[in-house]
Formats: sequence, structure tokens, C-alpha cells
Amino acid sequence: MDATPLGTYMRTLVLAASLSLVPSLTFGQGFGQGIAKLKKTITLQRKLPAAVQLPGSAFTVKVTAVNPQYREVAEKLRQMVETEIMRFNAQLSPADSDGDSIISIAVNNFNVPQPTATSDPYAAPLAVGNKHGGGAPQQPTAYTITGTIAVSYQAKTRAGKTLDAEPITVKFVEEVNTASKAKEFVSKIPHPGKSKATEEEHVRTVGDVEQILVTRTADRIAARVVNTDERVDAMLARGALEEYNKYAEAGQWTDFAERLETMPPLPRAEEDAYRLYNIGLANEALGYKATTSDAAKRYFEKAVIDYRKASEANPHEKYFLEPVNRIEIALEHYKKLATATAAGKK
Amino acid sequence: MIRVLLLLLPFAATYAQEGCPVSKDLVVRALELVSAQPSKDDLANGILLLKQAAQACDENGDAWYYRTVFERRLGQGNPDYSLGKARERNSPALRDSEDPFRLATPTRGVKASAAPISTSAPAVRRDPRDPAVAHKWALVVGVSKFHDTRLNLRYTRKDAEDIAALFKDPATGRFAPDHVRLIADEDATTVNVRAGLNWLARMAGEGDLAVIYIATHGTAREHDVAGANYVVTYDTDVASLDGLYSTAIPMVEISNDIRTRLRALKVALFLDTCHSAGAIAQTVTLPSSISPQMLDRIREGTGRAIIAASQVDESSYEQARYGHGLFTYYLLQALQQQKDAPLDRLYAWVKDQVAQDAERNHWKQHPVFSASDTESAIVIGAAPLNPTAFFKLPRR
Repeated sequence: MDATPLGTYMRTLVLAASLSLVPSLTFGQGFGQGIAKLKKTITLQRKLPAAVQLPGSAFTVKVTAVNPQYREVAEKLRQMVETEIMRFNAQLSPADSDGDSIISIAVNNFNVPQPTATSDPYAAPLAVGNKHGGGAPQQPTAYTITGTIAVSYQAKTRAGKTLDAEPITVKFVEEVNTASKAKEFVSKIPHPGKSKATEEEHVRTVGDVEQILVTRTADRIAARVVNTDERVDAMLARGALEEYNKYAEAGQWTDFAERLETMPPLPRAEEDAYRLYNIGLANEALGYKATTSDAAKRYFEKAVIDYRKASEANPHEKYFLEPVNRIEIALEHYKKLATATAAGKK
Repeated sequence: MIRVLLLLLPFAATYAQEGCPVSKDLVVRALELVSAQPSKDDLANGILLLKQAAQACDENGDAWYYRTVFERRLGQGNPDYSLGKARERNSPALRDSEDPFRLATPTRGVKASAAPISTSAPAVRRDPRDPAVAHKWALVVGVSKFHDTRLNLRYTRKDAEDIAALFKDPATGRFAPDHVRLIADEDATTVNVRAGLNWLARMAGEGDLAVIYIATHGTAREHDVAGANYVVTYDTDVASLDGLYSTAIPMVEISNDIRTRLRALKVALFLDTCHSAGAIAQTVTLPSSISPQMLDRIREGTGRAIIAASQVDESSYEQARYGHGLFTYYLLQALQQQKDAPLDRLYAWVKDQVAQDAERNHWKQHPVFSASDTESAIVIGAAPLNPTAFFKLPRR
């Protein structure tokens, strides 16, 4: 048993399994295949321990911009990092300079290009001219909005001892289907404490994308230095797998996983992908409940494998890979913690 | 002074709770159902408990491993599945290939055999009626000072020290000095006591005598459970159930060490665990010694004898006049005065003396004796046959 503060911290984890039924416009087709037209959303209580502990109670955030064009973003990032750190640890307060710890961030790249228009081959028939095979140009049916921010982050003590350092790149990709108005989020990194719907549902402007990129980057940095707590909405596959969902709803992830792992695989690979996805979800949930960093890491690694297997079996279901992003953040933490523990043992 | 401890649980133990400490106790509860000839009901109930244990703490590899063992024994379930999970979770019990159903010695009533019992022992025959042994080993544990000072006792350390000294005395105990391991007070952590049990299991061969003496608190998991489920060590956290489950040594673990790991055909266990530190905020003093059911399990096999300081519903008393616990005071006398007497005869004398002395003080204390068979002659003071036993030679 891990007797470290981490163990103590993680013992308090609660996996809240609040459940809601939502009609799925976005992913309903994928879960179709005779399996389901609806999916359930389950909420995972996701607490992550800080990768490093900041000394003292005062911290200073310094953000620089490699390119003068990034200065405005850099200032927003500084404010957001301060806010996020204080939100998760009320004992810490920002100091303009000379804090007990210094968090230095350099914005190396920031880019939100104009959306690119694409034609969606799966959309409804478009221009009349197409019927006749004739010359009317095809109207764009979808827009892809992208954005990238790349920063270098470093946490040091006032005396200059490096506590933590990491390059962080956050990408945003959103496809807006002008025909159906439905959207697909290809890359999602959840915002601690906020539902994705409130944060991202109405993304329309460059400013919105910038705000999301800054917020996600601040979240990543804050999560390195303070214990974070967030609620993550995740989908549960239904249909043929429905009878087992009650175990997930009750938070009985061990039983949920066992039933899915011991049932015969569904006949078609693209349908069985949903079983694999649900197994991945169980492992992810167990990872958040784990009492040691080793155990958590093991569950998350298994979950990533399960999600990837699901994606390989059904590449059309983009949602299968989305959870990998959030798990990889958690995995980074546990790798860092494992390194710190190993160094401590030496 | 009454020396009995039973934890007053700050909350009722409901096993729908989650958490790895609770999971560990569920595994202990399942193992408490183990016997050499388990009923189907016990096996089925054990599997249910182990499933709950895994549900409460999926990462508890031992819950998965023991489920495999129970399922195989019952011939039901999916033992390969649970074994895979145990392997993924690095189950210590799997690593040690533990099987609580498999006894280390033949079942009770084994007859004399002409086969030599140890290659290192000269011409010793496997005749349980013969008190001769090749080597003698002892693990002696006594805890007076605890990390939680509210648990402190007065004489348990001295009890253990005097027992160890007597064992090492060439005129009485006749144990080789390096064959007696004394663990006391701050050294008597859960890890160290476990290491001591491992040492004994590793060292004591088939033709040897192994002795375990433990003087500390024992506690039940719940106030309405009769019998000590856990042995309290120096670093046991008794402030909560979680702490107890995580940091004490389950009695069933000691039981299983004796049943399944100690190959010695002569094993004596002296258990003085029903002590109390008096009024402790989160504990209540109720009599709690080893339960008859636990006695039955420990004595499975051949040549196992247990002497407990008191009955399950009695207390162990300390006598300031003697500077010892009442039980150990008379045990020391018996071992000194009747060094060649078999254990059952020693017990008869100790029991009478303790009961009479207690009665004179208006107390009730009756030591308990239980043995796997009546044929095995266990003589604590018997001289070991192997002369190397008196030199510091590594056995293995």
C-alpha cells in the first residue's frame, strides 16, 4: 500500500456516477448499427494529484511571449493560470514578484487561422446543378476551425531549484456542419469544474477559440502544481450492452468490466468496438479510484489500449479516441509522480 | 487489571462501503472461512466476500487471487479470469503461491513413519510421539509501548523478554540463541512481525520445533463479534476501522502461516492477546481472545498446539506483584520447573494456577488448550538432536 501523501489523497476519491439520458445527435449514427440510437452520459469524478508541490503560500506567474504578437495571449494566460491555481488551492495566493515559487511560461507559438471550408460527402444533396452533373460549384457544407498554442512551462523555487518543467501544446479542432448544425469535437481536453457544453457549445469567433486554448493551457499548468478536481462527462454505449450499464451507473466498475470482458464478443467488429470502448471506460474510472500512482497508471494505460482497440475496430466513431486525450493528461501526472517517488527512494 | 481490548467501531461496519482497507478485511473474512475440508456453503460465501472485496478495491490483487483459489476449490466460476486480474495487479499471495486450503503437514492423525524427517538431522524418525526434534526455533513478540500511547501495556514486553531469555537458557529452554527472535515494542511493527513469521516458516524444517509467543492487544473487527480477528502491533492505527484493517495483522494470517507454511511437525503457539489499555476514546474494553473457530483452524494438520491466555469471553490480567501477566508468570514457572514435560501437561498446571490465582483476586481467567492430535508430543524444553543447532550455521 502506498503510504505517501498521494495515497492519502487518493483514498478520498469518490467516483460520482450521476447519470442522465441524452438524445444523441452527434454520435447516434455511430452507436447505431442496431445497437442503439441513444446513449447515456455518465459523469466521472476525476481528481488528480499535483505532480509537484509548490513550497510556501505565495507564487509568482511570469509569462513571456517569443513573438510580440503573442503578448496579449501571454497576459491572458498569466491571469488564467493564477485564477486556476487559486481555484483549486485557496491556500495559495499570487505575488507580483518574489513568490515562494516561480512559474515561468514562454508562449512559443499561437495560431488561430481562418476556418477552412470543406464539402461533406455524407451531407444531403446540395446544389440543384449537381443533379445534372453540371457546372454549379459545390457549396461548402462544413467548416473546420482550428487553433494551436505551444508554451514552455517551468516551476522553480525562489532559490532557483527546478520543480517541474514541461512543453505544452494544445490544439483545438472543431468541425461545424452547416447542413445539420451538429458539431464534432475532434480534440477535447476537458475544463476542470466546467461542463463542456457551457464552455464550447457556442464556439464561433476567433476570440472564443483563443479563450479555449488559453483556458486549456492554464488548466494543464495548474494541474501540475495543485490537486485538481473535475467532473468529466463520458458516453456509455447502449443497445446490446444496455443490460450491463446499471453496474456503471452504480459505480460498480469492477462488475461492469467483468461482465463486458467475459461476454462473447459481438459478432461484427464495428459493433464489438462499443464493448471495447465500455471496457476502456471502466478502466479509466478505476484509474481515478486507484489509491496508488502505480495502480492508477496501470488502469489508465489499459484504458488507452482499450480505447485504441475500439477505434481500430470502428474508425468511424471519433468519440472512441476522445477520452485518450484526457487520460494522457492523467498519465503524464502519474509518470511524473512515479519519477519523483523513485528519486525519493534513492 | 483487566487487559482486554475490543475496538468500539466508530461506525457500523457495512461492507457495501468502498475502499481498500475494507477490501482487505473482506479478504480476511473470506479466509476465516477456510478449512482443510470446507463446505460448499463456506466456499460460495467466500467467493461472494472476495467479489465484494474486488468491487470495493479493484486493485486489491489478493482479492482476485483468493477468488481463483476458492473458485477452483468449488469447481465453479471463472478462475482463469480472476487469476488474470490477480496477475495484472501483482498479487502478493499469487507471487507466494499461497493456498490456504493446502496444509503444510499431513492431516490430523498421521501415524508414525520410518522415513527420516530431515536430511540435515541425524537419524530422526517421523514419529509424532517422539519429542525429539532436530532444531528449535522461536518467534517471540511482546508490545508494551505502542505508537498510539493510549494502547500502552505494562508487562507484555517483559513477558516476552523473559520468555525469550528462558528459551535461550541452555539449562531450561535449550534453544540456540540465534534461533530465538525477539521483537518488542517499537520494533514490533506489522512489517517486522510479518518478517518474523516468514523467518520462522523459512527456517523451521519438518523435523523441527517451532514456537510462536505473542503478547499484545487482540481485537475483533466489530463489537458484537466474539474472538480476536486482528493482532495489534506497535504501529497499528486503531483510531478507525480503515486504520485497523490496513495496519494490524489479521489473526487468520497467523493461522494460515501455521497451517500452510510451517512445515515443522511440532508447532506451539502461545497467544496472550486479550489485553486492554483501559479507557480509550474510540475503543471499548470487552473480553476478546482467540475464538474457538480460529483455534479449530489453526490446529488443522499435525503437531499443532495452541495455548491461549484466556477464553474468548475472558480477560487477561496483569499482576503487579509478579511484574508479569498472570498467564506468562505461570508459564515461565512451568517451563522452568517441568522442562521435559509435554505441552499438554504444562498447560494443565498453568491453567490451574492461573484460574486459582485469578479467583483469589475475584477475576476470571481460564487458559485454553487446543491441539491437532493427542499423539504429537511437544516438549518445549527438549534438547535438539542436531548439535549444529548450538552454532551459528545458516540452515538454508
